[in-house]
Amino acid sequence: MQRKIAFTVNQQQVEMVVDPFERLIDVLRERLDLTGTKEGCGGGECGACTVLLDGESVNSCLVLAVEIDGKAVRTVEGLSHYLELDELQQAFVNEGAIQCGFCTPGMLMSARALLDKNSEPTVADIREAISGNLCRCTGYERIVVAVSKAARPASALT
Amino acid sequence: MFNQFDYVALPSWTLACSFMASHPTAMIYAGGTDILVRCREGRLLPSHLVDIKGLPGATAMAQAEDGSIVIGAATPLNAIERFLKGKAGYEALVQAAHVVGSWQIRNRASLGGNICNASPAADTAPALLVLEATLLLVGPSGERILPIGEFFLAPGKTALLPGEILRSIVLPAQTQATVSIYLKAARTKAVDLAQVGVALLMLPDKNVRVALGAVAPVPLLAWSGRHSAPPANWTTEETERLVSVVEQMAAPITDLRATADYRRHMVGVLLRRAVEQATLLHQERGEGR
Ligand SMILES: Cc1cc2nc3c(=O)[nH]c(=O)nc-3n(C[C@H](O)[C@H](O)[C@H](O)COP(=O)(O)OP(=O)(O)OC[C@H]3O[C@@H](n4cnc5c(N)ncnc54)[C@H](O)[C@@H]3O)c2cc1C
Ligand code: FES
Ligand code: FES
Repeated sequence: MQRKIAFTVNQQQVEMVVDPFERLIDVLRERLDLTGTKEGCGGGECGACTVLLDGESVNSCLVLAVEIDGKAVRTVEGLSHYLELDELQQAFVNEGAIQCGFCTPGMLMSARALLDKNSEPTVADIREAISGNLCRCTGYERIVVAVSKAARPASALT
Repeated sequence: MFNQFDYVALPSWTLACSFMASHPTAMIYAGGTDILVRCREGRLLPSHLVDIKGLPGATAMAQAEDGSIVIGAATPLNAIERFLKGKAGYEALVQAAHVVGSWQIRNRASLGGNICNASPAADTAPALLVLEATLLLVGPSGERILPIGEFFLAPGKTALLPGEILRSIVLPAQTQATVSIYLKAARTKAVDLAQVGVALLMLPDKNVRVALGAVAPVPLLAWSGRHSAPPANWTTEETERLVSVVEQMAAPITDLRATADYRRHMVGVLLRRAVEQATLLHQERGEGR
């Protein structure tokens, strides 16, 4: 049975009718044109589809659209303010933490979830927070540095 | 894409049970981290997914006056870790919850889903076995309580009867002097199932329990009994005696994650490490008092 759901995406109110077997990632990409969120594995392994659901990071390939009724979704598009990147995105750019970029939206959302809860993460905290996000290109080092710098922009971490 | 199942959310446990009883192809849906993966691969074709997350108490946790802890079956592992952290004796469950999948998975994956899968490698199962958890099951004909040791029947098979749902997991009270540890061997630090899981619990009265994951068709309580010395005073010989008893209980197989020989070897390695860590924790606590 189709259902009507109402939720917010990046603080904008949205209403739509969804099938019970529709996934959150499909709603974001196919219905709302929010194609920043990527689908890699479709099975919880890669983290490319990571978004925040009521502030908690989740794999949007493993969430049903019907479940987000009444909830708040935040995607990578919700990080920047118009053309101004948020400090985490800027740190990824500054540190060269992006190569092909496919993992980047998921990485950013996992890192955002971490920094929202812990403004002074250790390197171990960062590694753990992104341990569900696979990257084929960067070797992770620069991503870890970028997240550290976004957390403590003044410090001279290398 | 999944098969065209319907999604059902009902207001009470009783209604959910009767729905399950009258729809044999319906399945319970909690965090979905297991069931949706299987649906996608076409290994499951449920007619309905019955979401239990909104049922009364399904994601609640509470400690009763007698010290026992009740955890709603659909509570996500990250929330359980936060709730139990720092509570003496429950370390093994905190550690087991922490090593499941990834951060994103643990925000959704429930304790109930982890054990209802009946995977021999379910990380929380050995921890629940040494903690002697009991399960509150609700079915079409009422409620019953089952010790966790009677829950796992075979790979993928539990003692749940048709229409029955796991409602909550009850952890008995622990004393300040109880310590427990869960250690997992896996190919990668995150997002992989255990090659071997070992849970150890040491009670101040010299009672010791050891449970194993991924080395038998079901998670296994490999040892429960009194030891010759209290935890803090174990000699190497005492540890080795426990290791040899426990090793004999393991009946591992070879699969893509590890060979049977490696698994058998790792049972001893992890158990020795667990004894070391438990002893250390015990000493730290003793000094803190
Ligand atoms: C990438 C990835 C990594 C993973 N890593 C690990 C790991 O390291 N360790 C590990 O142990 N597991 C792992 N898993 C498996 C899975 O995430 C866990 O077992 C999780 O705890 C399942 O919980 P869930 O709430 O998501 O279950 P669901 O998918 O909602 O349900 C799982 C099964 O249990 C049944 N069920 C659920 N709740 C109940 C209930 N209350 N009563 C009756 N039946 C019920 C469902 O019908 C279904 O058959 C991983 C999965 C993925 C996708
Ligand atoms: S696409 Fe969701 S985890 Fe890979
Ligand atoms: S930058 Fe290519 S996958 Fe990470």
